[in-house]
Amino acid sequence: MSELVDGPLFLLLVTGFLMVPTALAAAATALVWVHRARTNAALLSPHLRLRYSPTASVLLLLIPVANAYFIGPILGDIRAASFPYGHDERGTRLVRAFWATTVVTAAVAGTGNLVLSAVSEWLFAPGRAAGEAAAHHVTAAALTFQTVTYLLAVASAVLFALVVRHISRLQTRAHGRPLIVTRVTPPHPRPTVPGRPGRPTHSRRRNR
Amino acid sequence: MHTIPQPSGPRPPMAQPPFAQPYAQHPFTQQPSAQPPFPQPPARPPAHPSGQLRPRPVAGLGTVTIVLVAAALAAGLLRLAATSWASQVVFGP
Repeated sequence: MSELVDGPLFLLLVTGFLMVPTALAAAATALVWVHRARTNAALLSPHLRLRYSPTASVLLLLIPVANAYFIGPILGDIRAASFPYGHDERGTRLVRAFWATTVVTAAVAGTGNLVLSAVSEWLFAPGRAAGEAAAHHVTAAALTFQTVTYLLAVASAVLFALVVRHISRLQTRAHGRPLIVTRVTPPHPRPTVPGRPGRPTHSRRRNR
Repeated sequence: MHTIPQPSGPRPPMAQPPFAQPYAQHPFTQQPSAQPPFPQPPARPPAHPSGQLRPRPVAGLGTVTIVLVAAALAAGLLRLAATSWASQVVFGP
């Protein structure tokens, strides 16, 4: 029996080592993308007043449970500011679908985990002799719940990928060319007085 | 031959037509105000004086994010399969 379990346990260990760093890296790059897209949106639409600053957008997404709600307004603001000259029906539908899927996924995952945890604690409490059939049923229910949660997570991830691609294309198209990272120097640097760096020659003291 | 007598001396200044001022003040003939009723977005975002605030590319970062999310989902699918396998080994199909 133990030799039979070695295979799936080894696979569980390997997939755990694979999934945790990959998920952390995906979350980190997603947060960096949100910060950068929000900064770009403010530059592309300076006439719009967005609800959350770039830093606030990232910090709100780090709050457990609440991030499922805040991801909708944050991405909605970024999408609206990335396309300020017309109506973006597809982007609006994508953001709303992603938001709804994320909220449903979070609700199902949270509720299901609480229910399964409560049932397991009650069933396998000290002094209670749980039969093998009960354990089998709980395991089958847990597997079904994990499958449903995984499918919802896949749907949410696919919609998030579509939203990311859509907003990235909007921001690239807003300038008519691919955006280039540049550090622009001022065109006319202010002249300085020799020996007194940083003081302009047209200062009040020198012209007096 | 009949000729029209020309007036001599300086010509008197022409009087302004009486309708000139009311015509110019009519609401349909007035020039549009300098500011439109709704704020118009600027054509290009103004550059920051320091020159550091410029839009940065997000397409590459978005692609990396999508690839990492897909990799995490693939690992999650493997983990789900391993869990199911272990369950079948312990409890039977």
